[in-house]
Amino acid sequence: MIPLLSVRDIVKTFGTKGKGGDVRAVNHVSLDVQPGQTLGVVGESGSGKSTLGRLMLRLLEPTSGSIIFNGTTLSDLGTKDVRRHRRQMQMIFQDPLASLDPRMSVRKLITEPLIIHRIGDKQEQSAKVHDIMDRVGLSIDALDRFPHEFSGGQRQRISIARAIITMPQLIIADEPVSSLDVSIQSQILNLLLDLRRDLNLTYVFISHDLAVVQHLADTVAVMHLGEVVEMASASEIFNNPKHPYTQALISAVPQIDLDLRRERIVLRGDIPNPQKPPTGCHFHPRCPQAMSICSQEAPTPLLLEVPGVALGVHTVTCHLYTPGREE
Amino acid sequence: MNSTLRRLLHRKLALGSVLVILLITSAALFAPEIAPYNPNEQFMNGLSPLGSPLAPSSHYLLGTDLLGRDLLSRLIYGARTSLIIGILANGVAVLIGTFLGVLAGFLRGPTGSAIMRFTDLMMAFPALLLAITLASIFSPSLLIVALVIAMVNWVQIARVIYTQTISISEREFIEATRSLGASTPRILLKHLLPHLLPTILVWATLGIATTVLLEATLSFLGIGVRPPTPSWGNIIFENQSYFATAPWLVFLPGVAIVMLALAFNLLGDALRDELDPTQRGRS
Repeated sequence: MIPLLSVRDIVKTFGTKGKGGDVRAVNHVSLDVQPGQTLGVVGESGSGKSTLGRLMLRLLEPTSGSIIFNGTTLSDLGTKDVRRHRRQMQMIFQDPLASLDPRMSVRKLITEPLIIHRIGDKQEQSAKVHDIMDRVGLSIDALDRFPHEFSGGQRQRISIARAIITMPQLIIADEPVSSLDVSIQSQILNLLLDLRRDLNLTYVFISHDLAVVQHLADTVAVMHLGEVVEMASASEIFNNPKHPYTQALISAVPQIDLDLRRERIVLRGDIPNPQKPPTGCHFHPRCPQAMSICSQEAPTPLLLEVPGVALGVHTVTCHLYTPGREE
Repeated sequence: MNSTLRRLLHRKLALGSVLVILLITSAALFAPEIAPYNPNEQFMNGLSPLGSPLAPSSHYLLGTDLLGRDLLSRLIYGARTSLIIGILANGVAVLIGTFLGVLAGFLRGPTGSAIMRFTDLMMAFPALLLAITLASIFSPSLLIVALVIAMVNWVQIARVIYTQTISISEREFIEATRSLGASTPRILLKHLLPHLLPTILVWATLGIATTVLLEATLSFLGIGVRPPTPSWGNIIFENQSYFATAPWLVFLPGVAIVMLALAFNLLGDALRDELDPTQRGRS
């Protein structure tokens, strides 16, 4: 299968004025997103997952590496062509109150993508807006109201309407339910699932909440300090996590079933200072299974065989699984 | 926009402001029809036997000034000068300030810094000295005085608009709009400018008062509007030596300036609230 979106060896450094040196927010990340699938990107805050999402849309310019969308290398395009491409790739932000212009009515907000990409005349646009409102579960009389007049869940529906009205192929959702009440979260997640089915969408779903990712991701990439430390199908990640960091994250997901209660792995300390990342494996100061080599040598990604599953790719970047060192 | 206007007229203060502005504007427009006398005519009976100005009477409704001219007529004609200066000079200043502020705030980088350092330089330079220099280079006319005032007044506006532009362009909805594929001009006109509008409106209205006063100062120094053409500012300065004996000569043009400034301020306030959907219908 040809991936819809390929990220190849991408690096993003942010200059810090004055002291401290540069921060490498995303460090040599490569991954593929298959059409119709959902890639979940998880990690703590500061792991670079939001930066990765913005790089995918070229809202940020990568320091090096490339993003290939639908066969086109985005970094080769001029600003005008990038803008044209955005019709096919849209973003849903975490906080709809911040990401929707407070001075625009819902009608204007949802029509705006059509105006930007010159889709249809006035009547067609209005018909499309009505259709989308129906799809995301908003009533038509909401059109002339303003974002602040809605509840959080309704507002996120407006954002979603705005993102899908150009019929994009790819949606990058950056913590789309994190600002919502738990009861509303599942409604929005189900809406995203319905839309994926009906409109044949591909999602990159960025979240710190593994329970949410488990609900809708096909593939999961776990990020730590700008690097993907483990990537596999969702069932592999949740049933057979390899990287100690992934194991710790999964042990923190609340379990209702008492039989399934896992020992909670508590990580020491915070995510390390990204200006001075630890030597060797960046995770070693917090790793419960750290060995002497971990502080000296950076591990390289390892491809693990997943028995019995076709295309069952499981990569992990950890010395524990280096051949010959095992057990 | 029409519904905004209709809602605006429902606010009592805004309505009052509109009336005051209309009154002053029509006084300026129809000055020859309204004014009882020629504003520049010195009347033989316009001064007391001792040569001091006359108090208000049925003959001279608001009294006469130090040269025996009718104060009411001068105030009515002065409305022309003050309105033109206030609106023109302040309008140009707001335009320049907004343009440079948005440019610097949106571009940032070396261009932005260069614009802002230039603004700082202008701010550090004594405004009055600059105005005097400019006014003495160009021969004073109403237009030149207005432009000189604009050259002095745009600086603070540029500063405020610059910081506003920076803080607004950091907000997430700007990034969200860019992620939709919007062009920079679209973001500037459709998303940034509407958010700057309250600030621009406040300056556009607040600045009228300071502009009228600066014109008065320039007139006093002899580089403003040339006498005998009346402006509210130069009426005050001409007559200030009579402040103790004939206070109305200073007081009445002062009231006119305050009324004009206040009306524009209140109108600007109301307009700002009405244009902000999150504030609409409150107070």
